[in-house]
Amino acid sequence: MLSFTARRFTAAVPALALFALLAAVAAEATGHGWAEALGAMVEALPLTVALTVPALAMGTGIGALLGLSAGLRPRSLAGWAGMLLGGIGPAVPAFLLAAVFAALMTDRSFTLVLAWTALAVAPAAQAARVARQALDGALDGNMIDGGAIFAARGRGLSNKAVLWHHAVPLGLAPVAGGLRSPVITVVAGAVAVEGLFALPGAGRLFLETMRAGDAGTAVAALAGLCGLTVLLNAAGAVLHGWFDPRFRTA
Amino acid sequence: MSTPLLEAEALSIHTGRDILLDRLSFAVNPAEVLSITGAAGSGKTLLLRTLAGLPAPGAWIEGEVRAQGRRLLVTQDGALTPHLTLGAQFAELLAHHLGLDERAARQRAVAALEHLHVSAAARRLALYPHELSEPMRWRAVLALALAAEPTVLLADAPAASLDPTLRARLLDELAGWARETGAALVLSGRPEDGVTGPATRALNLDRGRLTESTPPTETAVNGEAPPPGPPILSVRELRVAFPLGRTWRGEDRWLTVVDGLSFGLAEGEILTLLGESGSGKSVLARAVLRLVPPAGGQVAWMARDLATAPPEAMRRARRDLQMLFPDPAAALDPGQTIGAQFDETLEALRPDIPAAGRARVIGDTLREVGLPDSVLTRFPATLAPLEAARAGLARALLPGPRLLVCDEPAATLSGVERETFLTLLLELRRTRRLSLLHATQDADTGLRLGHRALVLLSGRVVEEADCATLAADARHPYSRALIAAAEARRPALHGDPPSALRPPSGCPLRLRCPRARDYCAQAIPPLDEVSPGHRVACHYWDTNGSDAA
Amino acid sequence: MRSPATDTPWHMASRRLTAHRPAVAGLAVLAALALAVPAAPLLGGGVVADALSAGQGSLAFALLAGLIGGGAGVVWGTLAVALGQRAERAMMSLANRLMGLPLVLGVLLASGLAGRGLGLLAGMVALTAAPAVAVLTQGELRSLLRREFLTAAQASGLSGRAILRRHIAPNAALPLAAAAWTALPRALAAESFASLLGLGLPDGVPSWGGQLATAVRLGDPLAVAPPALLLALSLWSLCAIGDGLRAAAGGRP
Ligand code: SF4
Repeated sequence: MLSFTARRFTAAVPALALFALLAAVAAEATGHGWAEALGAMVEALPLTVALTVPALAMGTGIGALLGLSAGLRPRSLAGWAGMLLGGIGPAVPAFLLAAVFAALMTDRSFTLVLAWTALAVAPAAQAARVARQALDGALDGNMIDGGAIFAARGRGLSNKAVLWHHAVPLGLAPVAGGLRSPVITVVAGAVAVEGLFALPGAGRLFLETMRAGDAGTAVAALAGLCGLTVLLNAAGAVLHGWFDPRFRTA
Repeated sequence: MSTPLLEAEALSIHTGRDILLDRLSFAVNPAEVLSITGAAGSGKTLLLRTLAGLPAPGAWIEGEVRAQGRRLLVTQDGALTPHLTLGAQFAELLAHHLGLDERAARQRAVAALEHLHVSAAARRLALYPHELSEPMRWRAVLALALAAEPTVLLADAPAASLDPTLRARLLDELAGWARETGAALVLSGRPEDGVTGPATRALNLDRGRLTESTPPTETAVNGEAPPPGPPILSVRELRVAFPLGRTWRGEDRWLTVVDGLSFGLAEGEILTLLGESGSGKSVLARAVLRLVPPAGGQVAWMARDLATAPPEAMRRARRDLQMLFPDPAAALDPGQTIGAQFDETLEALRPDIPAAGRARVIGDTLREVGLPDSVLTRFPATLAPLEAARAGLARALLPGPRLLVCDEPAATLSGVERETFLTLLLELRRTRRLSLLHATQDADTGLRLGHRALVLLSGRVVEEADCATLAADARHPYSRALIAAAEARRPALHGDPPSALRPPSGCPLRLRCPRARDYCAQAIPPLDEVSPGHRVACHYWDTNGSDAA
Repeated sequence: MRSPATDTPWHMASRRLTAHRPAVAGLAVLAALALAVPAAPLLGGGVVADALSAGQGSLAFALLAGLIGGGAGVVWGTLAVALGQRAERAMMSLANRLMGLPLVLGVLLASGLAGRGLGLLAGMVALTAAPAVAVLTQGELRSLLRREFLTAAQASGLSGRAILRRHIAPNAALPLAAAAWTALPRALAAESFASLLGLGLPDGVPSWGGQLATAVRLGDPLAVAPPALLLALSLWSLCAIGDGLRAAAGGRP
């Protein structure tokens, strides 16, 4: 597991180096020093990280829980919420929620909470949908891994043990495996959120410098955002490997 | 008289609309092994689920199931939970059933695995299920069940996906365990799956009813003597290999599947290619028809080399050489009617028949294989397995071939349907005077149907004889194991087949062979003539009869 | 018993599509939008009518860019399969890498630096959708090429070209259409995203994203609602139909 983690992150290094190089070249070409452009990016990036990472983690976590309850107790409140969330997913991209929140926002006291919420809904919806489908499949016995659940019951384990030790991890593994698209949604959404809520992160730096025609800094900011995406994807892959040993060898 | 451990009394299952199981009554005593055979869809799985106390949702159960002690069900696919190591799965199960702590569970696990002849059992406990080979995974699944000390063990089509020699041994070991511990064992499977072999009592499930099992009355047998004559098909030094990419030194790596094979086939002859998965029989069958490209050697049809044949000549040859596929339904385009595909075949292979005359040819062929004209407007997905097999046969016969290459032609059929189809195939061979090249892993069918047989192992011929000789006096340990497995005796080969990527030096069988000696590792045995027409590739073919397991 | 005529693969596929309830709802919504959007000028003024007429720009652009992107993805995946192992590996690993990046930011960069031209925007939006379509296409084609009926067609004496025309193309059509469809919601989302940030469609062209931007600038919650709802509804419908198409195409393994 440790070596898998190391491998996943080292695999991201060439891409990161490439982004840094592109940013430096673009900055030099447009007459800025590369240090200045990269410096502005590095200064702005922490806020973007503070927006994306909690949103992604909370969204995925809550979504997965709701999705699991939709699979296990479809008639409970959480079950309904999970089903609804999974069903409306595609309708609520982060930028759309950001726009709605920005128009509704009267004072700035809840900015951060609204920003997180806007970013977290899409990953939550995706996680709910995937977790529910995987769990349904596993309990139905229709899917490949479904056989494993029924086989565990055949061995006489209690329903509770089968559920928590065998079925739930099988439901969570594909959530971790499908993190790539929520990562992209959240990073792109962060650009919209920072732009609309006037938060000084890398996304806003990207938009502002581009509007001002400062291509060098804009490319540097974009490189920072892409680098963040690559790192988040690597983290997602590690999580996937943690849930599913078959993926560790890949 | 001991009391039965498992008893079903007038057990019926219905869905409200259909009756799935109809008033079944039977009992299984301690140390008894009961086999329940039946075709696909006969209700075996449903019955075993119900016996295990895990009834299918939506099914109504009447009657009674009485069981004593712990009941365990080994499910059809033999699945293990993918994210837990073998050790963790043993630990969880044994803690639940026997209250063992981790150390005791480990010991018990190792003992159970060793009982099923798993080498280095302790090390395997650290592995995840996907790291096990298919035979090893089945051993693990069964060991898991044995370790929990059930009094009633129900195994649904156990090890059905394994090669016959491996399966027969595993079933035998399972039965041995039941006799030793006094547990009741129920094995279910298709009649071809060999579950009746180790059973003390055999029942047959047919359309929801249970009968004492009798061997199928109508068995396809080919009685004719092999006809003499020069070969019409001759294969010389045929080699098929697939590229595996490059090594770090830039050398190409190849997986050799067929390794310098030669044989001839006379007009009207039935030649059996006998071998398990990985023996190369299926690839050989396809290479003969140039459906996979050969890497070397020659395939000559009527003295004309097919490897270098230009497209027009190849098409003429395809008129004579047709194929039956292992899954006939999958060999038909799902998007076209049967009629359209028949028409297409005739158009491509018999341009001499005018479009108006095709309907008559198709109609005649359908009658020959016993299908009504109405199948022509149907789509492949709507065909039952036997209908699909007949349709595949009809398509192969359309152009008027002289040789049929059959790759496990009855693999999707079972029991009576299987025999019906094979009888039809033999019948048509006689009336149409066809030659057959029949690739199969089932020594029983292969030797029953054929005139002559080649036993294949790792892409080479290890024994060649006429079928009667082979059935009575096989000399190669591998041939003997295949025949034993088909007769539901315990085959003498031990261990699992080696990976095709790393074949052993010398004799390809030596890691599993009961007679192997040091010399076997040094030289690949040549095909020696034992008696006229009987050749064997084994250094010690004459040290017979000592194949104790 | 059904009569054989209703068991054609097309009938079965359409039955699977209509059995997919979200897809049916999505089709109904899209049909309603297709009627309402051109009729919007007849409704006179008001926020709803404005939002509906802005849909013209958004939906027409999504259709255009989605078709380009879907087509490019299908061509990409098909070429990868056709050009041999080494090219396939290179082309698919590129597609996979691109899929892991926020390509939609590239749309912003392009129109920010090069100005907001319709052609450039369509091209960039198409590019964001193409890699995912390419990956789906390649997977579908690979699994189709493994199937036994193609070998059987070869044994029946058909030439490579005849097999391609009569067996591969008809069986690939529906799965590839389902793959290409995924470009449509992506294109709509990408364009709306860019327009919302003022880097999308040119000023003269009304779009939902542009309307949202205006409403946000004015801080007018009432003006936000119509375009936001219409956009959400369209995105959801397009995705639902995509799911339905995939279910329809993947009926048999
Ligand atoms: S050559 Fe040796 S290893 Fe091979 S079959 Fe004969 S005795 Fe066994």
